[in-house]
Amino acid sequence: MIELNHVTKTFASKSGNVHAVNDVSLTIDTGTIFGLIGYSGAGKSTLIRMINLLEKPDRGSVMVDGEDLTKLRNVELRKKRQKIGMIFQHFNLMEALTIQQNVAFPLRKSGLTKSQITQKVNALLSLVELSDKADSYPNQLSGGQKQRVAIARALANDPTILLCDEATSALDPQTTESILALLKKLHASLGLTIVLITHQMSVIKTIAKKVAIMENGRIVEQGDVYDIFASPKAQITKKFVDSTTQMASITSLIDAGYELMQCDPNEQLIQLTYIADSAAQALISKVSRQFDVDCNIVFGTVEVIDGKPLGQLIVKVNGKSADMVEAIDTIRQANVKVEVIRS
Amino acid sequence: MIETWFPHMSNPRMIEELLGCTVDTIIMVLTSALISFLFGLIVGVVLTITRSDGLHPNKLIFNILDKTINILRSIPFLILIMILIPATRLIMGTSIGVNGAIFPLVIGTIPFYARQIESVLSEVDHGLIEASEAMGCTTVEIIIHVMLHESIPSIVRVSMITIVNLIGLTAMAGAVGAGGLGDFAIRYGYQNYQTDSLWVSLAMILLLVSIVQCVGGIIVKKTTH
Repeated sequence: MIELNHVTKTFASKSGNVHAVNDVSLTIDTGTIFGLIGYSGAGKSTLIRMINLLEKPDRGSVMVDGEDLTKLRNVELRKKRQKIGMIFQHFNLMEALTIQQNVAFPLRKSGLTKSQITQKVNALLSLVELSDKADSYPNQLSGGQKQRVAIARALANDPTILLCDEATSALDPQTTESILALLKKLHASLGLTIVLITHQMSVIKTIAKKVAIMENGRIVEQGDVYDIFASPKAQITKKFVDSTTQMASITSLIDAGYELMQCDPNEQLIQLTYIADSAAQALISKVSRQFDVDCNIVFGTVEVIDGKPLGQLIVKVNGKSADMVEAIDTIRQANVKVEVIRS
Repeated sequence: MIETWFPHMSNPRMIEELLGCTVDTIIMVLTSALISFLFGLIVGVVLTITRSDGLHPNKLIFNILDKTINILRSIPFLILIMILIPATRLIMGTSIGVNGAIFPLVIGTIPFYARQIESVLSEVDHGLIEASEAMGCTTVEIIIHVMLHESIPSIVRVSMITIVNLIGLTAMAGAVGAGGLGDFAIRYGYQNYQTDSLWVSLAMILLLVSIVQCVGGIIVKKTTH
């Protein structure tokens, strides 16, 4: 378990002090995939670097499996760091070393014999499906391949935690998918705790179980990824959620005054959010019959997040206002979130 | 034909002397290169890690080294040789000949080389250093396995530049009795008006420089991946 308790980090700059991380407390359970999202400058890079103390907090404690890293001596800290793997946006491989030597690099002090190291490196390379590149140099590899090598290197000392610092931000969407799939596979097979920071909500959606949203050095919202997607609260969270669904484009259609989005006096435009359990019911047609309202489905999507469906509908309802109120109430009672966009 | 173009250099005694001087130059260059590379590398590394954005920032050490280098580098080499004469006598036992030249050559080269090493090491990707810290490397390991090892091609390149520079300095040291090809050119070519000796010694120096650059090029190619 990783616990950050009231950590603070301030950098001095010409224009005054910058609170990169401002009194943040965070608990990351063992074996989870925890995503930290925020725009650049939000402090997420500084925060993830506190977990292996590359960035020493000015105040607060960093507990990893019950041990306060800020209290460790340098020798102990280096030992501990070997059990916390880390990968980076720009891979950070040694260009003068072959792939095999890169992966073997963290094993120099492991006490393993030469043949044991070779064996281990080979196993790691086959885990990331790069066995055929053992004798190549990093410059001969594509970005995705380099990140695979970096992952193999990060896993060399059998860490329990893997920190991913914008690990897919320099990669194209397809390669991002494959790297995320690899991380998922490693999470499942090795029971790794993965902490990743990103500015792409799609990465969170694909892989994370828990998410925290950071802004101006603070965590503004956190929880299960599904819950955050189903009912984002903070403004910035809504923005991030919208960025991965099509809902953002609907909002802009409304703002642009598109005809279909306009409402007559007896009409309402509502947004329905179905969570896992309620998604199966035939609510719309039921309500339509029961309360004598016409429902025109303007737009709908279903996202699968953390293995569970999350549906969203934009519906234009037409009917007497009393009927509409009752209809919306009924929908709400069925555990569907209703937001009136326009009436 | 040869005697018309090379009236003095066709003399076997002169050829022997030229070869002797070439050997002297090679000895001076290699000895002072080895010593100054060792110290220059250390100074360059210390400069890099004590900088304000280095691994172990230390204003005092950085400033002392930085200023000393600046001062030493602004002293013209010919004057440096003369200023160092007492120190050279003390350390080498003599201030003339090949041995007398090595000490000022080393003092003149260390600052030059250290600066180049500093600039090479400062180009090492900070991400690499961060990654090694995250892997639990010590500072010494980072210096040796990351900063220096990753910079081998660049270090070779600046070393070759420094050797070529040294060859030039040995010629200047010849002016104050250091021996070597510079001395040869001055004694025969300049003072005795033997133009052919002057040109032959120049050709010899150019040959040495070309060999150094050729070898350097091969090593750079072999170590760049």
